[in-house]
Amino acid sequence: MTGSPTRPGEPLAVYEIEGLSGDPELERLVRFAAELCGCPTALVSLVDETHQRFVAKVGLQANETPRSMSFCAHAMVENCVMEVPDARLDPRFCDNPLVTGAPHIRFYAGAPLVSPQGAPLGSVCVISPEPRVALSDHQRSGLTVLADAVMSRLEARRVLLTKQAWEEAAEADPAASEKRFRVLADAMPQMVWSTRPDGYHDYYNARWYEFTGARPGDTEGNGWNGQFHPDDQAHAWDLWRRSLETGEPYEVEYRLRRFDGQYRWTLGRALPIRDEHGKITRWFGTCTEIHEQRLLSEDKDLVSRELSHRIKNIFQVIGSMIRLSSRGEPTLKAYGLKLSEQVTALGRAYDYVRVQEGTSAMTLQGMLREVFGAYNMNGVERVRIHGEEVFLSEHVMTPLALTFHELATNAAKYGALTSSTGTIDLTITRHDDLLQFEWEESGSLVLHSTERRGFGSELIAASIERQLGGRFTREWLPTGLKATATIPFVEDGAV
Amino acid sequence: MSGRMDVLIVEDEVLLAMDIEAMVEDSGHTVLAGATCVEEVKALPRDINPQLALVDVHLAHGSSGFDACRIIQQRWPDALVVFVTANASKIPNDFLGAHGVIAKPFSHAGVISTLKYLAEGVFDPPPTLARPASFQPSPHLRQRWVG
Repeated sequence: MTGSPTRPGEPLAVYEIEGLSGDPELERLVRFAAELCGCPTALVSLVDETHQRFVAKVGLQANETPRSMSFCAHAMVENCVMEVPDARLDPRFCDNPLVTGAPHIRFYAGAPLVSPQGAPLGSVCVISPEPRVALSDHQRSGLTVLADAVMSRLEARRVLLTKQAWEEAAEADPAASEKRFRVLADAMPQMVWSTRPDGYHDYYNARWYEFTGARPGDTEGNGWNGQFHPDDQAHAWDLWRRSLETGEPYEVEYRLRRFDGQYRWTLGRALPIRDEHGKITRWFGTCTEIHEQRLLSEDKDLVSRELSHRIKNIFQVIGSMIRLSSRGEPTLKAYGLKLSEQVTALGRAYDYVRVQEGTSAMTLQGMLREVFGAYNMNGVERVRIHGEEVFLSEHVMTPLALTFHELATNAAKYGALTSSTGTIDLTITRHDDLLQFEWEESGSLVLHSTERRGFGSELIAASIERQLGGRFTREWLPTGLKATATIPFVEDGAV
Repeated sequence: MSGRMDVLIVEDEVLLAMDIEAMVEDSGHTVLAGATCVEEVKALPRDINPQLALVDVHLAHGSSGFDACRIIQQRWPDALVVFVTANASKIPNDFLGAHGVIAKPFSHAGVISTLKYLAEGVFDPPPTLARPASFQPSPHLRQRWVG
């Protein structure tokens, strides 16, 4: 019997040498080593931090000694066979109790045992109470071969042990992984639950019981639904049933009854776990309380709607004021009407402000449709928009709203919108960091083909070229006006 | 000109009420009376007979254009009620029996063409004019005039 087991973390630990005592193969090897070298004693000695243990031996009673007495601790760090012809004459060993007392070691020869990773483990050694000059070359190389054989035996054992541990772990796995899962799940701040493939809830973590105040068992099976707000139960059931049928992830927001009876907004999510054939074996789900965030976002929506309402009202008041104040002045009336319509177009554009993650972005086509809406007839669009839908920030949207309002107004006065058959195609295309607008009028006689340098043209030039740093060109084709605006493109608040 | 409508204007913003009044009169119709809140709607003389009421949703003293709509419909069941609001999304799907909505900010051209369209619908239904984009009819009016 050997003494205390090798401590974990030592190179020897992986071999579990406690189980090697009396190993017949190692015993055969040491007997042969003794015969080969003509020594009464031969050992397989494995050295840990404190001791050397003799896992196979011939001609010696002891099973182990303190490391301090070990010859092998010296031999194992050599890269060849270490020989001590007479220990009494060697300063390292002359006062060693194994030299001064039994077994009165004089001659020692040891071949190092080194792990595949290069860690010195011990040695295969031969010992004689008679001094000797040296081993023969044949004996020395024979001892090295035996050391290799011992190492092979140790490695075979390590592989066997690893395999056994793997199999045992695999056998014990269902219980072990379940236990690990529960420990983990209970430690989570979220509520965690799990169901059978048919959706029967058979597990909830501690946090679920803590939050809902339900007693274990209360919410097994389909009892979970009863914890939901009555108005949310049917919706959650529908989505859950659909996920069970299709295997698609489950995600739903609902109000969950807390232990104190208060309903709290909660985000429920679940994913299926599948076996190697793709068959669902379990569902794992979580519930995350999102009450505060949800109320906050509802508040934000309310504020944003209210703000939009007020902004539109302000534009309305300005537009009305301009109309009223110019109404009684014959020279100003037409001008007042035009100005008020421009203000109205701007106000409409604000309908497309979207507050998203702190930035207000607008949908370009939404804004344009609003601006062109005034020219629709019986719900049919006179200005047809094609191409890209992008989100742009307000500072880009305003000059664009003014530009296209101006173009549409001109088309109604002089261009395609003067007759009921004329149409306009607006094509939006994106070329890397440029956004291009092509405005093509058709189906109507061109009344004015000379460029009018009115305020409208100046407004467009200022909007597209000065404010947006783009380019604006127009030409009169036989079919009608063709205008092209190109602006640098920076997408905002992309969805 | 299909006919001259008598119009009620329920709007608490004086400037807007005046602007609408001007457009109604420029179109050849008559403004019978104005009101800025539900109480003033209740106090309107009973012997008038409007064909059209233009009703803002947010009225003075925290009162609602929806309540004004109900009173008008009880008193003058044949009148068309059209909401004028910057918050059209707040109008219930059935429009509470009202006939449509003009979104704020409205344009001069939008209101003028809507008045023309409605007048034709009042005096010679259904209107043959194209429905202007500025006017969204309620589902029941759409059904009545379009079939």
